[in-house]
Amino acid sequence: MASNGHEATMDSTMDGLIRRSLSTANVAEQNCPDPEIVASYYDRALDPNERAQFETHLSNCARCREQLAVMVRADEKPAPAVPHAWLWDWRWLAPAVAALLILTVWGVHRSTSPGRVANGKQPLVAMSRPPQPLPTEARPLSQSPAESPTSAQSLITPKSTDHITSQLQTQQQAKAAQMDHTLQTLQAEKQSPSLNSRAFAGQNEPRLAQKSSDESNAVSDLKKAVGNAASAPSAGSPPAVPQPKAADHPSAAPRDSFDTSASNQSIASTNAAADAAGENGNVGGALGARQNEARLKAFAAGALAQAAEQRSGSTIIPTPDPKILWRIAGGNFVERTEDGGATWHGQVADPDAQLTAGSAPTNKICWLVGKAGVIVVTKDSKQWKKLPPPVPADFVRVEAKNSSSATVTAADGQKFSTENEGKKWIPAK
Amino acid sequence: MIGDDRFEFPAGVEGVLADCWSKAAAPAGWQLAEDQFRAALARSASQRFSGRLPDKRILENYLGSLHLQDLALAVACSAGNASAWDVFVAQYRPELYRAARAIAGESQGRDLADSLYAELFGLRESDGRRKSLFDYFHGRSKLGTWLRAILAQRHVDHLRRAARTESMDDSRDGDRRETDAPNEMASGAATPDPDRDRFLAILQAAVTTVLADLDPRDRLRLAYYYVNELTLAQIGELLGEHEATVSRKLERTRREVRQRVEALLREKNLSEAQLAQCLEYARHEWPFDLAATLSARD
Repeated sequence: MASNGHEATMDSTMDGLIRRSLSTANVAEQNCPDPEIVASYYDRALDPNERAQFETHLSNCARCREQLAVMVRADEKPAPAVPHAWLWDWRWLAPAVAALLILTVWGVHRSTSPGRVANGKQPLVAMSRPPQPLPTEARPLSQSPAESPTSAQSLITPKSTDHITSQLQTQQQAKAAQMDHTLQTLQAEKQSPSLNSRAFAGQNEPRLAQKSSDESNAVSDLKKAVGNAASAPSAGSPPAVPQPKAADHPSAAPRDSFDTSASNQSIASTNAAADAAGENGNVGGALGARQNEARLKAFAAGALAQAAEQRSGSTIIPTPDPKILWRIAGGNFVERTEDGGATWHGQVADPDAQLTAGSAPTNKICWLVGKAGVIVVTKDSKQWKKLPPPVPADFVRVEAKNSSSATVTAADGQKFSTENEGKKWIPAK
Repeated sequence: MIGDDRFEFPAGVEGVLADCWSKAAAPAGWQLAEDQFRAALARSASQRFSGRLPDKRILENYLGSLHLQDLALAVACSAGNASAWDVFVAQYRPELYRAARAIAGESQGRDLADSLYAELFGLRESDGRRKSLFDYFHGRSKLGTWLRAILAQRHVDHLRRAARTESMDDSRDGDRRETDAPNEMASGAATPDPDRDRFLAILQAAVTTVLADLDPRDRLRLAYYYVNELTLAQIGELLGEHEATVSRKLERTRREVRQRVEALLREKNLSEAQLAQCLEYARHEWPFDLAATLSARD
């Protein structure tokens, strides 16, 4: 032990001697290489001879060693801070998640078993059997919000369930009428195809089946979004009451009765579900309902655009109206639909263009960009105007605010903005 | 040295030069001419090979190893092209300021970065031409690393100037500093043992000799550890070694230094007792607690 202690003392003494000697050993500072050599050494870009020479210098030069020490310390990345770390504190997160699960299961159970829900005295317990599938046939008007449990009713403010029911019914009837009209248009299209439209109904038929399955996927995605919106209360409103799903609601009945091969009907029913969900998602708060509705509509527009894009293999440009879409069909040809993709009307935006991307801030305004500095805009969805580009580059993206203001992105990442239809462009960040 | 753009490329590298231009991929908006870029390549090669024409294969390998896109950006920025500056600002300015803050702290770091940024922009003029710090970048390293190296150099120089000023003030007060040269290590106080100073001088000379004889890389590793107080991981990062390798080699070098110092002292006819006394004097004279240093570093 004593010898170990002695050895440790000797080692410590030697450490001190080494440190002292190395601290005082310095070559003259005018021999230090320039920062590019230091940087190249740091990046391991020096050849072996250069590296050996520089390391010899480093071993005798406190200044250069300190530079590298500073660089390596500064480059050490701290452990990434978890954003909103308090959110992941399991002390409160676990009970909150458990409560949410219980509420969700209770909501599903109540919505699928109206008889058992009616007395409102069913205790909140997690069900061991899987939730019942959503019924497909229409329910009579007598079933629904009137059978809401009294415990849920007590949380419904300010609208009464009757008021909601009548609103939804009116909305659904309007949508059904719209669907009828669209179906008639589709059938008429089938019989007498338009010369201006590339989307002959006959050609559409094989695609309609594909469209219907794509949009069924969009609908099921929407249902999930509705479920999430239903279970997540918005700020400033009473807790959301797990309401019967839109599919169970009598106002949703007409959707279920339509054949999914009619694409416009499924789009309209998606809108109905979105609108209904926007209402049902947050019964207690008008603001929350509007926010949910806007979110769901945006989701629907995006989902439909994505489905259309996947189907057609071309670039889809959505507008604020989910039924109105633009499509870059290839080269200089652009198409527009007003019925969610059932029919498309084509135009040549610029004969010499190779279009790559677009942005439609309104239903009638659309900006398109392409290779070799192509930038075109329409204000009325018909007449296209070519704008002078900031640089003769290939543009890959455009974000438009209105008919005069937009930001374009070139393939090399440069961005330019205009507020006056391209008369003047300024670099954007 | 900026390098000489009169450096003449030998015949037969035309293809390599064209390839370099293609890889540089300077956007049209930078308005960078191929001739300008070739001149930058010539300066870089001249700097690397000290103006002498190397073997064609070596030259080709060198040109191929350059960071060509960074070089193109630097040349375009040096020429004052606005589009190139936009790219530099978007890509490198945040990194520059982050690195400066990491190196020198929040307020000093900002000043450091501001000063460098101004020099990159080129506020100095020479012969009627704006001089930019970008002229000194030759593409051997990444542009980001080069910027950080400049920041580090300036920060270290600033600290060393401040330390020298402080040490001059301290020396007027008669304080003895650890970095005194060995022959100034004798304290003003009288020591009871007349051999003490002699032993300490012999010991220090032996250590200096042994360290000077070490392989430079071993000495560098010791210096990073004992003087710069870097961690094993940081040393490994600089030397391209694994942390475990750094640890093993440090231990081996330390043991070797001690054995050779003891051997040298024996060659000077010091007995074992005198050798032990040497180390004991050193322990009291220059106390150094490695464990405390390591824990402070961590």
